[in-house]
Amino acid sequence: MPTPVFLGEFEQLVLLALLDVSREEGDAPALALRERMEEIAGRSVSRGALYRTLDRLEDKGWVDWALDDEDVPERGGHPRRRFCVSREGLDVLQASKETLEGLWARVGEALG
Amino acid sequence: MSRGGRGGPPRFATRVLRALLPGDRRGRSIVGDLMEEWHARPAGLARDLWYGRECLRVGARYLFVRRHLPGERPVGAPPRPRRTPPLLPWDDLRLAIRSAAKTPGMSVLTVLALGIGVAAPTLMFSLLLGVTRDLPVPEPDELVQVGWRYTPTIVRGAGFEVLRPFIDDGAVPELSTLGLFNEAQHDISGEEGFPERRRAAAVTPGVFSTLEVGPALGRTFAADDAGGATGQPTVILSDALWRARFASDPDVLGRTLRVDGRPHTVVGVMPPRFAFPDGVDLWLPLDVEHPDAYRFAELIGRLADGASLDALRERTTSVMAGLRDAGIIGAEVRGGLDAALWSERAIDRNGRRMLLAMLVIVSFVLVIACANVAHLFLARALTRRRATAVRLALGSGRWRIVRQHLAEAGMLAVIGGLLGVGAAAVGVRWLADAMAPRISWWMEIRLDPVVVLFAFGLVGCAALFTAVLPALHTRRLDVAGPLQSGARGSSTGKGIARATGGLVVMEVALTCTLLVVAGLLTRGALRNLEVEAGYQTASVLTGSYELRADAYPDGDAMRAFHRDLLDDVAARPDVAAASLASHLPGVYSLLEDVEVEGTGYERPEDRPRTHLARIAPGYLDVLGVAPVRGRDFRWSDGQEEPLVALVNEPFVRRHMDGADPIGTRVRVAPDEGEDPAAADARWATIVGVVPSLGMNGGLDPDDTGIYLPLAAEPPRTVHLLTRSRSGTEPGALVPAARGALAALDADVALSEPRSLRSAIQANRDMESLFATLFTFFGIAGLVLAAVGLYGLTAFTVGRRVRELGIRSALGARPGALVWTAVRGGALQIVVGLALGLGLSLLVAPAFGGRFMGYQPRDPVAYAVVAATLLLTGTLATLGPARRATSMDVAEVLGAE
Repeated sequence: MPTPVFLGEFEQLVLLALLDVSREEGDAPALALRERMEEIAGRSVSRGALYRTLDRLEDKGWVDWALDDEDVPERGGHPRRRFCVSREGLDVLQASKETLEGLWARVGEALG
Repeated sequence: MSRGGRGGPPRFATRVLRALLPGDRRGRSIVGDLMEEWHARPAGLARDLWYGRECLRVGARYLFVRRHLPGERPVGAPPRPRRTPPLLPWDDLRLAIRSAAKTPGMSVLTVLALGIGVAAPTLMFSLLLGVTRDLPVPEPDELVQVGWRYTPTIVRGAGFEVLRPFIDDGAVPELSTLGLFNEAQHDISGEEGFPERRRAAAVTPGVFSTLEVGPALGRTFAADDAGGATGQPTVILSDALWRARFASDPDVLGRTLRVDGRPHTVVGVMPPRFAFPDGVDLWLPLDVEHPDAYRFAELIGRLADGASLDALRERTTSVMAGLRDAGIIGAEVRGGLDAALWSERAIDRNGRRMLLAMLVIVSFVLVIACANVAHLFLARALTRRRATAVRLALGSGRWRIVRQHLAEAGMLAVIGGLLGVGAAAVGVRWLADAMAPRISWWMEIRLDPVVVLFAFGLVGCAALFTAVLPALHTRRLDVAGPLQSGARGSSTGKGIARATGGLVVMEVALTCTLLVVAGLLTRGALRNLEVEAGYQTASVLTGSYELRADAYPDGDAMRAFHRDLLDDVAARPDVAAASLASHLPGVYSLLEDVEVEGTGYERPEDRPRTHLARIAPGYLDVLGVAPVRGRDFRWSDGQEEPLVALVNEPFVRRHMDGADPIGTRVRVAPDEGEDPAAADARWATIVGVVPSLGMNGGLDPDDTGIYLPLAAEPPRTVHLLTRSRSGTEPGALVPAARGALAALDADVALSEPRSLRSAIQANRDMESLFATLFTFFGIAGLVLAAVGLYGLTAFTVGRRVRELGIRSALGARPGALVWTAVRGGALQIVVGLALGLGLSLLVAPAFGGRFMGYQPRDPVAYAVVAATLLLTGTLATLGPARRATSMDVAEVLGAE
């Protein structure tokens, strides 16, 4: 049995939204990611929480980012990061999905 | 809000955000994101406000994050291995706050105990430091005194002829400079103000050059000042006198001040606070060629370069031998010349040692406080033992658990310590105010940097001591033990429990003693107030004056002055009554052995020892009392035969068996070998009986006393008592009293004019100061004892949780369970109380001589203290003991 991993609800939302955005547009900047998350979840997402969660996911090795080459004048010379889900991130999502599906299957039987 | 130069977002908000974010590219990109969003929004104030708010909200998320996170990883590089996020100091603190909030009672007790533990020694230390300060002069360590040593510790001045060999140039090479001085009280007067009595010092010029202190105005003395070569004698003023009497007049030099009626020229003013040797307001030149006026002097000198105190002492010994050879000092004279450091004059080595010992004892308060608190933490660590063991078993690092303990104990220690420093700051201010009139001018009790440093050192010690002990305990905790065997037979901390038990006994005993003494002092003060209610004090003005021997050489001259003064004062419109007395009621009076005619005394010791005061007619009237029997004095009483006396009621009761005393004669008992005729002349017929008027400081209502007419033997120093007409403050009578004195003799000063009530209170100041100090330390002890008992009981309950749970499940009555928990604490209280009461009985009488009205065996004080301690002890014990009954049996046993 693989080492169990714990993926929080918000972390899961971040990873899924990130996958969703990058499927269409490649590596996603934080702005687009946040907009997508609000779209999916139907609620507002705090910027601070998102950045801290991205930091945490990066520390765990589930998210990667790289700097954009493009210079956007509105950013006042500040770089832009583009994020993507790493290999391990995908594995974790997969494992989490299986766990949840298993659970839902059992609960579904019980619920009839 | 400041705007970006080229239409960018508010700059200030950006700056705040930058300051909060990590400084790496990660942080910079977040700033960029927010800026980009700002540009995308519709322009307006709302946009700027949104930006400011978001900057703060995002920044707040990064408040506790390390400024520089580990560097970014290039895309595609292998991910770092997973790791546990580091535990930051902030996390420890957060956990500590949460943990402390879970047990608020314990946290409050901890903070309180440590606060007291820090405040008490800090207060004591500031006192020690304050009174052992050096003279504020250059190189105070070089200052020495030479004088007569009577006892092993005291060197004071000596006769002038003994010190004379030191004055000649080069006679004592060990001293680079030296000066002689002599203190006395003098009346000063002049057109600039009313006559007053001030402390003065006659000094040689060498005193100022030895101290290396210069004047603020004018000059100090020169060699010819003493000889009167400049014509009129000279005087130097203190800063305080210059301000009070000459209104800080910068042209005071050259003005005339009358000292004891003789005009003196002011030649200098000393700097503020300077009052050498102590409490002195003016300096007069000391004439070493004509020292008749000063038969006694003190010597201050400064050690020459390379000279030691030992060398000076040898020199002094040889001078002494020379004096004996010359026959100046007879062989029978006790003691001898000696030298000592000047700093020993104010507080000798024994005094210092005593203060230091007190500091050590008071510091012990901190040790006890820390031990108690450590024990509290241990008790709690015990109740959380299983949780800790589970965490250890799950792989939590020991260091992490220890760190958490350290953080919590450290946090509480710092809070308590800061509280203690604050309390000490208030206490030091109070102590400084209370001690100011009693200490010398160079001593200063204040919260100076050294005291603050000391206090924070104590806080550090407290934090360390409190935190480390339970932490070590956790470190040693056996992982398997608690999990396998539950709480059964655990001996963890038994040694500590025993040690704490001993501490608690000691605390209770010491607290009991402190509180008993505090209670006795307070009761004594209260008792005095009751006695005072027997006569007028608030509306009576008192003040004393002294008649100089040169102007009033004999009894007749003094009697005439006293009587003229009294007639004048009594005739003034505001004065309801006036009188004179040798001693003030409620303050003190002489003690004499007396004889009652017709009573046989086998041994001299059998003669009654009683208080004696000389009073003028009207004394009873001023105090608002009337004779119980017989009559008051008349002016003729002192001058005509036969001599008469008044006695007080206790005297009649105790020494005359309550018989009617009128007509019986009493006298001050003759001295051994005294001419019988002189003693017989003192027989005085009792003409009246008066109520008890506080002759023994007003504290013992049973103090016996007799009064003799002031006119019979007029004293040189006399207290004037005047009672104002109702509605007039006694202070309003001061001009009348001064005016009456000035009308008779412009050079006689009224000193210390104040109400009789303040005079009596000033006399008991020390008593209330000590009562307050003892109460403070007593309450400190009470809190500590409570903390100790609380910890002990909590510990007992924690250790026997399993046993108590099983017994509860088997149907034991709650009372029996509580008794099991409190048994230990109850024993400590009873043993401590017994020891403490015994100790109090032993210690309390030692204060008897110092304070009046003090009854060392007053049962009320003992009973109140015992009850207080029992109540406090019971409360402190029952709190944790309640857990023994409220325990959920299933929770305790089912958790296995």
